[in-house]
Amino acid sequence: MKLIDVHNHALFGVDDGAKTIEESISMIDQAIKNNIEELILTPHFNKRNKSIDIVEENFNTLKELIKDKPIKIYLGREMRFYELEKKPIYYTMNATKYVLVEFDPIASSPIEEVCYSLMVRGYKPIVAHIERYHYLTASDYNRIKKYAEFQVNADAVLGISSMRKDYKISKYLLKHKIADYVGSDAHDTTKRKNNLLKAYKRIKRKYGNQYADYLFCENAKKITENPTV
Amino acid sequence: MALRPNKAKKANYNYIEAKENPNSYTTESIQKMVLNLEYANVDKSYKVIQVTSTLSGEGKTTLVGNLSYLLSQKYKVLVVDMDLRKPKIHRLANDTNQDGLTDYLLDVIPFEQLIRNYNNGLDYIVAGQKTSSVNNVLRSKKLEDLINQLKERYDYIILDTPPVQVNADALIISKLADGIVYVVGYNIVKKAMIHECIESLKRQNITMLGIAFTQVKLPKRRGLYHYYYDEAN
Repeated sequence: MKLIDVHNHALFGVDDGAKTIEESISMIDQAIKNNIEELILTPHFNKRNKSIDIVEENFNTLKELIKDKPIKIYLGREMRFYELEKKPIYYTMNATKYVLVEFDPIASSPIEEVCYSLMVRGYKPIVAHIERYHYLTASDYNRIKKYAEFQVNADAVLGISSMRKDYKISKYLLKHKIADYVGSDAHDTTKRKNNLLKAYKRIKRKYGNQYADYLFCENAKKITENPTV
Repeated sequence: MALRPNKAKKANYNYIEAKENPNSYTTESIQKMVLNLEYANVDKSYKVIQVTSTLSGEGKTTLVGNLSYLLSQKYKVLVVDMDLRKPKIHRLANDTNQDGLTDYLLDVIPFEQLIRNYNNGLDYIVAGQKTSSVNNVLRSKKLEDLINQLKERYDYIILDTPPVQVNADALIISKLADGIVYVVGYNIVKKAMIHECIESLKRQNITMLGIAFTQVKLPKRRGLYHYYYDEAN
């Protein structure tokens, strides 16, 4: 099964992900080892990283460099929620209507409000690493689910993320089939590396073939295949 | 594909029962409430009506939506979202919470942009961007002038306000309102707490128009009589 990664910081020189071009390429090599066929690069967009032109420039140079490799890359952004409030233009995933949004993991932030207002404006929000928001309750997931889709990190599925509670929440989300995507959230090749294949195998074993294919490939195809959705 | 562990209990705000099901039991009881309001309001002295409750989640916004929809069939009605901390009126109309009351009071937008139309005869004002000084905004002279200005245009102005027990907002707003409709959710709050909140409202010299009892679980109807009414619907 060829996988699609929807959350990755492999683009060099724009955020806390890859620093240099070489690191970028080694991260992409690691992604190929993980059976990843299509990769959506999602650099941060927050207070510290507001670059727009450099991102597109670096993306184009990277695309030129890896055109021989068996992987396709697309450009997306991981938006911090306060950047979405009063701006008409959003930096979406592969120029579709899907927006990857991240929230504050410690102070409880208005996830439902932000997702609702995005939906009303015609966008389709994806809540990034939903297992990190420990302040959400079971009924909150149901309410937010009306307006948004959920992405879970591969490290949380494997239980190797920094918080133990992430693992427990991701287990709950997968057991009840609330999650819609699994992304690697890889920042480098050693400490926060790409573990997508391991996570795929574990989900396949524990929650079934059909759900694993949905999480890792079929659902994400709508972002990569038709850029007008 | 994705299943839900337990069905979401909270309904969508944009579902207005009086609009979707004009003959249902719920709509009939809200219609009764409209009649009672008209009887109380023979002299047209109660124009600004505040809707509040003891705690959150008792059904204020849902009642405001249904009540204003039924009132708008006869009168010109305006709904104002005064709950500046957790605004919800924009969800009734599937709208965004932009360019609202706080934006007007802080001189960001002019008066013409403030009011939006929902239906024939029904307009609404959303809360607008969040402020840290809710008390100052609610006590401002400009808000009082705005309400007085709107009184001349509309037959009814319905204010959706925060619950009484949680913060002082509802008590401050009650000075702007002519009468209060108090919402009591079935089996949610203790009786003593409701008495306490109503007492604190009465200390503000406010007229209580009545109490609306929401989220009532009806017992299963027995006997032969209900067939008649069921078939009529």
